[in-house]
Amino acid sequence: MLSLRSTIILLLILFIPLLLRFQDLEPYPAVLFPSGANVLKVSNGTTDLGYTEVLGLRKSGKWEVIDARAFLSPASYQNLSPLAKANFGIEGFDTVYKGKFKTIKKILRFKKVPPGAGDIREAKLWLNGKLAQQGFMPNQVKIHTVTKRISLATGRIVEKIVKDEKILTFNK
Amino acid sequence: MKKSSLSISKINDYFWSRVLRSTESNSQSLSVFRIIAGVFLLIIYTNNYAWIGEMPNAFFMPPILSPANLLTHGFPPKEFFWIMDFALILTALCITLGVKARVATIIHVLISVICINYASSFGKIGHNIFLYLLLGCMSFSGWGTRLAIYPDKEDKYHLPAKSLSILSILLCFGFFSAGCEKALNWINFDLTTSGTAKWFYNSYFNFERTYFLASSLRNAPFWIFKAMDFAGVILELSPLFFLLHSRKSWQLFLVFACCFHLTNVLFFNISFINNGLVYLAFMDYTSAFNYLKKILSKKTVQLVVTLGLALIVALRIDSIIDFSRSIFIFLPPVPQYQMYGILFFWLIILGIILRNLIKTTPLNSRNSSEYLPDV
Repeated sequence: MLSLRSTIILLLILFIPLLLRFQDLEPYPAVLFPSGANVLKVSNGTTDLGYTEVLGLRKSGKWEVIDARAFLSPASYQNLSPLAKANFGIEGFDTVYKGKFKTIKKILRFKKVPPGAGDIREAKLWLNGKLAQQGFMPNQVKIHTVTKRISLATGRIVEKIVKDEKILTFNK
Repeated sequence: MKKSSLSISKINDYFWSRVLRSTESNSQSLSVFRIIAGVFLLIIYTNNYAWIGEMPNAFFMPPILSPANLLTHGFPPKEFFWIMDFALILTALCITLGVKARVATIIHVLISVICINYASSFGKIGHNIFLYLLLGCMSFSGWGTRLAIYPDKEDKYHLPAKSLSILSILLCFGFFSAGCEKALNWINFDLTTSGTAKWFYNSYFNFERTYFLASSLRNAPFWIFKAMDFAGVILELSPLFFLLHSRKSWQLFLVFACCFHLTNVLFFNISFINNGLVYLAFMDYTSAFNYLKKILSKKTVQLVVTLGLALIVALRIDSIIDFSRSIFIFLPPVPQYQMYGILFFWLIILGIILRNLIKTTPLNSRNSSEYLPDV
């Protein structure tokens, strides 16, 4: 079977990506299952759940939550949150990796290449097309960081709190 | 020094001999499994990637340490993904039919790993790598040497014992990678926190995974989630012990794993369907080999298989053109129907593993790394 040397190499191949994941630097490909190790805290019979939602503007001037599945299709709607947090790549592009640990952050300043002007123009057109499909006005979306408060007794949402709100305009 | 390295070497040999004892198979059984895997790739886990070419380049946010980020600065053109999608169908067909299965499997893995890298470049990393680790290991298992139109040769790359042993270790490590981080956060007696509750409420309220028994957990007592925290972490940290104990205990672990996934499907609507195929690799299909060999030699069966494969290929091409992202090709691309397919599939896997567990005979007499001779 595997020699001692091959076994050590195999262990390195397995453990290095795991250690990198602990530093928010999960590589791909890697022999890793999803961890999802965060916990939910209960307080006074309720629990808070965070979520990012994107809203479009109706002609009437009213903001409404977009249908994430249709909006991001053909990509998975589960990408909505990371994409919205990154302003759909059209502004404020983050070029420096932000990890958990300061030392690692200093050592590993991985630069991402920001999208070019043509890419941003393409993204704006794409976003406008998707907004139009759902009957929303073009050129702006609102991104909400929401906390849903859930009652454990009833298993229902009792309150929805908007923790952060930003309007992303892309008509420039 | 020399003495200690010798003893470490002995421990290493002992470790692998225990792993081998729990996982060994033969190329007849693996050939049957190749057909199962090929059909799985053609009709059950049918990933298409042409849709990536439709997405704006500004959305390109690959994992920092990944080939897509280190080697490229955006999504390849859509023509690239069209070619990859058709190549995936072609290689899956070659795997099913046994047309140079080793090369076909390696190409399928490489294409999939590249495409998944781009599919994971919207901010969320997919963790479906185990299907491709399975295929990578199987490409050197000799699974293309029998029941094949153009069989592989039994050359120096024919390493069945190593393939399954390494696959089992990768699987154990995969579980460990999920369990160790959870153990740090979940294992405590604070009844006001739970990781499983986070998974459940997030799935239910944020991703609308409300099928099957999900609603019954909505207002369940919180201690149930806490108990699930403990059960989940114990399961994820335990496979290596089952693997090293015996063949039967390894299969028992796979039964537990199936039950874990069934719970995930029923309450959390999370599929992990490709893990099911990985578990099936450790089953013994030797008894099915002769039966398959006999019926596949009949002209009428060959005709039915050819027509069936032609239909599947037509449906797959249609799904590529439609950018369909469903799992089961024969079910409507509606989450509810797909979830029924996933549930049905997991029940079948559980049945197969239970049957193997009951029929498993201990192979404890074999300690060397020598491979079982083919009959």
